[in-house]
Amino acid sequence: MKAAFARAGRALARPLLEHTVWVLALLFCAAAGGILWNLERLSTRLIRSTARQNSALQAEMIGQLRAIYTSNVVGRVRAHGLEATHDYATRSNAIPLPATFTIELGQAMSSGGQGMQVRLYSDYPFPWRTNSGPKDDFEREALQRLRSNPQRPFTRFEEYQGHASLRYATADLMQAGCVNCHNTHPDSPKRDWKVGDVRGVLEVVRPLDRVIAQTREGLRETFALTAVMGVLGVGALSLLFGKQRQAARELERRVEERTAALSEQATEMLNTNAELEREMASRQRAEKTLAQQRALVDTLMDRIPDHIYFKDQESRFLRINKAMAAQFKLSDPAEAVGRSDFDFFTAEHAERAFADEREIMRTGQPLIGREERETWPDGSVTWASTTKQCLRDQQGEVVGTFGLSRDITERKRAEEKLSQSEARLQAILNNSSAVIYLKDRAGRYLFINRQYELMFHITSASIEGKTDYDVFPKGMADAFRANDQVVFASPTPLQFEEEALHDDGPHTYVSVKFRLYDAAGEPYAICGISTDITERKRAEEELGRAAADLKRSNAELEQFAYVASHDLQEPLRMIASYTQLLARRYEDKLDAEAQEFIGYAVDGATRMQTLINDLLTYSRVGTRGKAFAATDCAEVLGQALEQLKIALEESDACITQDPMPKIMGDATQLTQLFQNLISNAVKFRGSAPPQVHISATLRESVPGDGDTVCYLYSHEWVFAVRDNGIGIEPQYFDRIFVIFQRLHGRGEYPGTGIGLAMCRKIVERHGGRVWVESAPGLGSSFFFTLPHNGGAPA
Amino acid sequence: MIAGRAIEILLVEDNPGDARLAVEALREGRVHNRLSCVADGVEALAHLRREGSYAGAARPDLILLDLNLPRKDGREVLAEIKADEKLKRIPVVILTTSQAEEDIVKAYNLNANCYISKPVDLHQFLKVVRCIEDFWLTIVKLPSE
Repeated sequence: MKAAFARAGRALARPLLEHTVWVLALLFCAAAGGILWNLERLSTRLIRSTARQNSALQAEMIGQLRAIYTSNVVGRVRAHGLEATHDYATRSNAIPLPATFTIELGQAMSSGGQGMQVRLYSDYPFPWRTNSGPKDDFEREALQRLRSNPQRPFTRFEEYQGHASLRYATADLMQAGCVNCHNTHPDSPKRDWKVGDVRGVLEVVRPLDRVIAQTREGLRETFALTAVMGVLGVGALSLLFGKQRQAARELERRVEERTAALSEQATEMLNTNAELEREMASRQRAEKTLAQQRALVDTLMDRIPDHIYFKDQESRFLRINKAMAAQFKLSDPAEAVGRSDFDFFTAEHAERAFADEREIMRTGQPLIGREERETWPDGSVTWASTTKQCLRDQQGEVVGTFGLSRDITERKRAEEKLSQSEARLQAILNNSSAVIYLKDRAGRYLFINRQYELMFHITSASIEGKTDYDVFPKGMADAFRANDQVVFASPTPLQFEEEALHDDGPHTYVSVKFRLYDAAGEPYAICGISTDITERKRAEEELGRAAADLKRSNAELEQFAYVASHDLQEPLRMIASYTQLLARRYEDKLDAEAQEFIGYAVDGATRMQTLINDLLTYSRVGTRGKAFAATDCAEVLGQALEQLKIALEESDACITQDPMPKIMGDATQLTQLFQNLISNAVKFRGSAPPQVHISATLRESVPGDGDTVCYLYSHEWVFAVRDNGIGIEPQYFDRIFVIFQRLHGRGEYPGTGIGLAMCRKIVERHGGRVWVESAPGLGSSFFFTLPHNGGAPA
Repeated sequence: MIAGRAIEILLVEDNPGDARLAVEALREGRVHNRLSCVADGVEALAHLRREGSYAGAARPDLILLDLNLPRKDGREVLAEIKADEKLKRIPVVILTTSQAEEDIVKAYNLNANCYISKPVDLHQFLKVVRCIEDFWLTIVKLPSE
């Protein structure tokens, strides 16, 4: 900035120095002009000021004259009977009024050779003064200004009657000696004057033309004189400067010569210097580049997760990077220098690497991207992708090897896993008894499993690109294709029943089919898993037939039961009744033996009827049972005991019971169950009065012999009816539950052998089991189970 | 007790043996009665409606009806009697071999007046018939027509 200013200064100064004379002349003219202009201005101000002062003096003088006239002349002459009036000239004994005196004084002064004028005027003139009202703008303005400020004279320089003039107006104030006359005079236009009121204006007009002209004349002379002096001065100066400039030029020439010599030397020096600087800069750049390169290499060596190493001809490490040092469990990569693979890997791996490097150095052929299995002394195995090359010095001589290896253990494991998973899937697909296949959108096979190959006599290789129309009759292929299309439109798996032609005719399949999606999420194929259900279907049909048979058989049984209850009993009744009628009617004619025979016949018929009725009851357990409902076993047991009341009383039985649970069941049948068991306990009693205890305990379900399904963690009630009766030998434990099986003669214990068979049927209908634990003479315990409905007990 | 005349009883029974037993039982009865026997349901209704050969048949005071009959069985006969304005007030006693619950229920549903299973034992049978006679012919008050 400073330099810029200096340059600008120098640029300006040079022309000034070269044309000094003209500059001086110019400056002189300017100064002279300025002085003249100022003189003119000062003279004008002086003229005006003088005129104003003179006018003020004249006005004051006139005022004083008037005041003196009023007080010293008018007052006195009045006392001597003289009259003061405006028309004093026409009268004797009269003097002019002060105002008239003043006007006339003004007129007298105006008529002098100076061109000065004095005028007295008012806006309230007496009627006889025809020339005493304000006549122009100045006068009107003067009246107005002075009335508002009587002390300050009103002046203006303006053209007046063709001359540049000063107009000077002062207030004519009402005097004490005048006010009375003015307020009482008959011709007065205003009669409320007070002392000090502005009565009018006294104006002095002073022409300035002449004074101004004189002043200008003087100025012109002064200018002419000055101009002459100026020209002389400039001439002298120009001579002086001419001499000086010549001397200066000579000096300048010499300086230039010297300067040129010096400059040559300087340029030489500068050139040398620049060369040095360039060299220095280039060296710095090279150093910087080198540092950058080194930083890049260090970054590479420190940060890259791959292993980088340089080895000498003996395969000893020259340098390894951080990642490699970390795998070698070294804290500093420098620690590896001078060591070899033999210090870190197993000998097996180190030897192989060593041999590889030998080969590379011998042939100069690099090893690129080889996947290597690395074994470590601790037994671990890693995988690496390795690239190795010759390391050469600047002359191109082989001085060792260098390489880069990437740990691909994870990838290798993933590949292994994938291939295992593939193999597993393949094994599953090929060992599946289902037919599995993949088809593309056009219905072309992409894959079939072994079962498919076996079933339809076609190999995976030969089915490629083929469709169902190449494998199956058209009708079947149409059906498959239609289903496949539906599956392609469905986001969820679908199930179909399909028919496929086998060697032995059409087989029925149940096929689950679903879409497979490509990486973009678009369905590109369907997968089908088809299971041959021909056998199952056959079995189902058979089962259906069996069920129908069973139903028919049940209906027949029902019919049989009815027949048994009615039609079979009628003949029995005939036999019994008529045998008895015979005995009765012909009592006299029959001997005792005949009577006895008749007794057997009647007994047989009666027993047979009981058997028939029992059989009927037994058959109805399954067919005529009621739907299961929530049942309180305590209530059911109570009813059974009520039914047995007489028998219990007669036998003097003692019945005890534990708390009974609530279960789901048929109350009528459960009553029958308890009734049968308790009545057996009483019936098969020993010599002692019967003691019967009924209990129920909850336990986890235990599968029985015949059970094919056991529900885990379900619970069941185990009921027990224990007695102190005669007991049963173990070999009869099963037999006693078979219908009409009896262990005792009819004479000892009556009954048809239906009771326990009924019990078993009832318990089984309820989903339970019944069994007995007993020994002769030690009483019997009959157990039965009923499912617990509330799941696990609380 | 219906004064003056013999009590008319209609026995509908296909088994002659049973019919005979009933006759035997009623013969020993205390009430003077006249027993008419028909062997099937069609005959029974013809008798009750005095159709064909039964034009002169008397209106029974009591009907003993077996359930299992040829041609038209006892249930149908019972239904027709109870649906017939003229016959429905005649007491019908079901006398049958069947002890089946459904037969009992069905009979009462068809407005049978009572249901009795024939006992196997003769003495029991005789006793039952006498009871029927006692109850329906002497104890119970029935409308005159």
